[in-house]
Amino acid sequence: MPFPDLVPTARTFESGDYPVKTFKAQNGAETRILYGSNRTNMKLSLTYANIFDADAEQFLDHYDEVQGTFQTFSVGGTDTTRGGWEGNKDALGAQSQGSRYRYESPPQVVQVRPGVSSVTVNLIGVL
Amino acid sequence: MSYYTGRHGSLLLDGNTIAQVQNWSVSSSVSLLSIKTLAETDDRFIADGRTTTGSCRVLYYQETPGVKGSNNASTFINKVIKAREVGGDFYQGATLAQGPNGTNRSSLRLKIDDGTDDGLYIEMRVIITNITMTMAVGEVLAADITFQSHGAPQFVNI
Repeated sequence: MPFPDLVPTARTFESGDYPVKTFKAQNGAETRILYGSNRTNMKLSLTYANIFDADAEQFLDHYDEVQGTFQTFSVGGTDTTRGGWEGNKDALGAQSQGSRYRYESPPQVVQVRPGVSSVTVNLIGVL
Repeated sequence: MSYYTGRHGSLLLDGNTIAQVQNWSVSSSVSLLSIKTLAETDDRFIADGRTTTGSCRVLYYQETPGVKGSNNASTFINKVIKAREVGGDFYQGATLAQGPNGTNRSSLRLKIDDGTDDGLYIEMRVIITNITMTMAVGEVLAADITFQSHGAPQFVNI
């Protein structure tokens, strides 16, 4: 089962970082060592406000299918998860860096009214 | 073609026609939930809930001096403004129940006389949310009453 194919109502993205270790000398001089060539740890937070419960259920089912925070997966295309983003599609993704997303925390479902819920999903990009 | 004016209106509280009603109004509003996604430019909504409120103004009078009666502003006033109950030194409250026989809500029918037996009406279970009585020189004492429907109206024929 792929990640649900819905356009979010709000989205935040942190682009992560390359594996860098920083050393600072007593005189203030800084030395940085790059330990890898791939950026990782991207954080993608998706909010799906006021969606029908049947759609909200897809996230719960998908979370179960990928065994919670264990397995990685790719998220939807430009028309869905990245809907409304008019920049380069790779910019919001993890695949270009060799990473894939996994759940950082369980999906949060807030019941709004009978049959309607809001879902927040927090994903993190890992190698 | 029939039009209706103030003289066609009446109001029944717990089944009793209230006399000397100067006006009544009812308002029903629907709240919305936005379902506009990041890919859309124009708002889209689904209905979230509905609130029905209303108000009326009832003149305060006594048919017979010393007798409050049961079909005038006094009926409304006594549903909300109550003397404290006897309940020990530390209890200074009074029941909030407004309906007949200690029930919480009253039945209110807003009616338009269209010449038929039942007329046109909206009947709902209500809680009176505010009563304001104003005594002023040159004006008849009256009670301004606002109410809110508990759930959807019970009967709608309008």
